[in-house]
Amino acid sequence: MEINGKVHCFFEQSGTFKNEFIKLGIPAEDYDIQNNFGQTDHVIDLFAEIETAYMGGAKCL
Amino acid sequence: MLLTFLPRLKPHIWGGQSVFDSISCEDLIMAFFPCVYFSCLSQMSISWEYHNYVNMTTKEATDMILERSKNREYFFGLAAKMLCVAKERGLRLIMENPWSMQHFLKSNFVVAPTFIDKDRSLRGDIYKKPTAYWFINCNRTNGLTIQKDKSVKRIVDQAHGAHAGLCSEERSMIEPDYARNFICDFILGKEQIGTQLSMFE
Repeated sequence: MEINGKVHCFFEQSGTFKNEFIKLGIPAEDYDIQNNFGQTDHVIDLFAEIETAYMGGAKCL
Repeated sequence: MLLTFLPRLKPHIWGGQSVFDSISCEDLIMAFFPCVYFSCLSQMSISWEYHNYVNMTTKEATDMILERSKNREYFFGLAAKMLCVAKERGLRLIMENPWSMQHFLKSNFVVAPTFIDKDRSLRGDIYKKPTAYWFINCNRTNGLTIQKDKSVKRIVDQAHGAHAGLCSEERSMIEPDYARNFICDFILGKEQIGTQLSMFE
């Protein structure tokens, strides 16, 4: 598949995939509630985000 | 009049902004959804016979089991909701989860996985660890990059989690080689050194 945008890596252990996407020239960021290695781009409660999105609200770009 | 319109407005009022609003259909989400309550170890803890309950009364063990069952249902709901959000919004998402013999999602989930990687060590990981992948609003490619250059470890030989029924970080680790080969083989369809070419391409 073609990825013309960005890769968003969710949850723990996603940093490894994030780094490999970046090495392959694809912008990527990771999201997790923890930042154990100090490399998480977005320290965020993904569970709350999922619940909020599921309830409705704004849609995709 | 407000009472008439309130039900229509409710989803937009209660939903609110989320991280999904900043993700476009040109992006890709890779979700390594927590498997802590789906793993076979967790299934074993839904039993009075679980070794951690040996010194508990039956009621104490039952309370632990019911708590774990409730948490499992919560995580299950979140996984289902996450796929629903992606599917309905047209977002491309790949969800990953282990696929051991007694994995909870094997017989109970909203959709079957797109495919199972039965042996991750073939693509450079240190574990064999069968893993399931769900592709939502996107299709996998069919590359094959063989990189079996590491001693294969067994999950059961690695460090236990900090708490009973939880997976340790060591057991959750993914090798960068596997990540790269997976991306090239199943997401980008990108040839690299080690990619097996097919006669039928």
